[in-house]
Amino acid sequence: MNPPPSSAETSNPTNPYLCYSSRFLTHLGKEPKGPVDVKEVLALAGNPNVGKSVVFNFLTGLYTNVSNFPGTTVDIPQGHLSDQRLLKDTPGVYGLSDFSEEETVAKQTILAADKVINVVSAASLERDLFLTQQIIDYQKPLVVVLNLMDEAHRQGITIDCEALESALGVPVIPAVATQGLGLDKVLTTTDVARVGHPTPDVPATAQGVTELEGQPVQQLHVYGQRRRYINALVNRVVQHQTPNQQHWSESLGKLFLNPLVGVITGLSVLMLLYQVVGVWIAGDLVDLIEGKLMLGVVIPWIQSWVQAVVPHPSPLYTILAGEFGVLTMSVQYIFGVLFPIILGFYIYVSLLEDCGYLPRIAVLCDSLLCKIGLNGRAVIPIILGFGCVTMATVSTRVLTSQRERTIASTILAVTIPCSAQIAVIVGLMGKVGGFLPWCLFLGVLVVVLTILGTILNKLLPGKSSSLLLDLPPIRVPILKNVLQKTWVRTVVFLKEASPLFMLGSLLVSISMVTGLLDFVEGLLAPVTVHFLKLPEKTAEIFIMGMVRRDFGAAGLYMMAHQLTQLQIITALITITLFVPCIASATVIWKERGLLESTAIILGSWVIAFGVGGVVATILTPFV
Amino acid sequence: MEPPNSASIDPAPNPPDGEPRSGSLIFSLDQASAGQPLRIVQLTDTTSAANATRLGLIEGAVLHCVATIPGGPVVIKLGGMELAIGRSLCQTILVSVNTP
Repeated sequence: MNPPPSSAETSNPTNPYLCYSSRFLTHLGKEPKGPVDVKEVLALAGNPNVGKSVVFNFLTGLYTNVSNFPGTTVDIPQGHLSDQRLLKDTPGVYGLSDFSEEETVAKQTILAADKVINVVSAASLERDLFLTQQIIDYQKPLVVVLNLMDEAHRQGITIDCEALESALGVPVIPAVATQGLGLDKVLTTTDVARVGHPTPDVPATAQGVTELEGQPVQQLHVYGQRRRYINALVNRVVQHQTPNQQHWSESLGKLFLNPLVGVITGLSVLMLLYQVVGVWIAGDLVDLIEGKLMLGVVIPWIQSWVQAVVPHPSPLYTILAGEFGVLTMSVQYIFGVLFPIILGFYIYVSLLEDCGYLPRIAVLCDSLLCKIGLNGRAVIPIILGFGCVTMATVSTRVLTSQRERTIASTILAVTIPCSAQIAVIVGLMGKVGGFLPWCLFLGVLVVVLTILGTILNKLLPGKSSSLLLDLPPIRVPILKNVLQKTWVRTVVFLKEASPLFMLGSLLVSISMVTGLLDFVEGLLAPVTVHFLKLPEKTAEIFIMGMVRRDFGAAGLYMMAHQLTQLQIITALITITLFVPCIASATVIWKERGLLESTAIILGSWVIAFGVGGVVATILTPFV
Repeated sequence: MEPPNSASIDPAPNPPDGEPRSGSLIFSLDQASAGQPLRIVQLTDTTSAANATRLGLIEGAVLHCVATIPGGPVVIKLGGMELAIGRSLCQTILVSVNTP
């Protein structure tokens, strides 16, 4: 066992950087201790945006999600500290309650661990110590990493670390995680992790606390006691001087909350997003990768391999390596289309997130989203939806209730066009030309979104939660963090979506071989001709749109010269509202269950043809 | 519970009736205006109270109204953090102007 860290090293409030040394020494210093068969599990706990993931990365060498938007780490990354010691990361939470799925996950992970490393922000100690004190009340041996000392210093906050250490009864390590300062102390200090001083009048056993906090009335009472105890404690150890001038980040943060500035910056951000992801990546880059590399080199190569094993014109060949084949189209789509778009989108969103801008968009959009039974948090999935609906559906996990997740998934599936589609839509609208068709097209989408959201909000039982969102300070994003986060997210997403997509193309290929696809097309044709007033061949395009949303729109592009302006607009509206692509359909099925996903997909058929038909019927006399 | 004062939301520093707010006047947080120092008097919704308590929104807590989004959330500063609170939740948080 190492001796406890001397207070001069860990708790000097005026110079928190004394204990700085190379991180490599830390890794050399964590030699296995004790019997080899003993495994110790440590949990890393903390509020959102306190630099927890940077600490995790430092300690384990494995990078995870560093997020500036509360609630984006859903999985539990883990890494070895040594052969016998395992560190588990947990989602950022404000306490160990069961207010969301993430909290339950965090609570279970923390309570199952042998020891806890709790990262707190020196700049918002009052908020953060609630969780700390709750972990203490649950009798977990604990080490506190007092991070963001630089930010606290900038805000005129002085913390008496020695007093904090003795008040809590656990070791406290001041740190600036982004610069690696103080982190080399963390591992050795976990050897002297202690159960701290429990909140007065709270039962001094973990089981007692569990029982008490399990009942709503008592829970509120205990929370109140703990909160008051922490506030008094913070008053004793923290001194606050008002900084001479407002820091630029605070002024900027306030400026972004101004509705007018918010609308202007919000629109600019979306326009830039469209240019970068919609035009450059989904258009130019995908053309290059998919057109030249995939269709020119990779796919013929795969097909030649399949031909060597499977007889060429045969149903099995079509399933494996045909137009929608499991081995051909999956590869072409996942690496040629999804990968560049997802990567580009995640870089963009990660940048917005890490600079603290995204939560402020959430605040500005809150009142609009409340009308359709969502709250400001839902802007994240909706913005992601303009990139890839599949990715956005996965990200609805950040929403608090199942009710909100159902509404968001439905809106995404029906009304939001993804970037692959937007590229083709813009091209086609360019052919139609003019301001009025654009207004008509966007207007119809907005109306459908509003009506759909309002109806779901009325129909679904329960009540959506109100926004309660912690706004992180505006910061200059660290490029390395952004890139690493983007990479992790992209890989995690592709790992999750690829099997589903392969399953999707398998189903489509089988339908093709068995003639099911032709049958559906035949069923669809009368609706297309009589109700939508489109040529019979467009039915095929709608079916293609089911396989891949942009295929449908692209098919339309090719036959655009045969269509009138109105027909193009009708077809575009229908294809946008029509079933999401097979990849997102499978994700919806996985996330929302069989019943709900069937309802969403059938609903989108009805809405797409219904709205398309209504538009065609109303406008035909005017053309 | 209904908000005690359901007058229209006014981002101006004074309430619509033109009367400056005194420390004794109790109103719900959605009626607050930017720049006001406030003190929480009561949380009327018990279902959200536990979550609010964790974050430091308790009776007697002193906070500062940073911004109000017309028809949308109220942004407050409390113990070093900025918190955006949705309008319907604001209606359940009763406050008064804090006079030190």
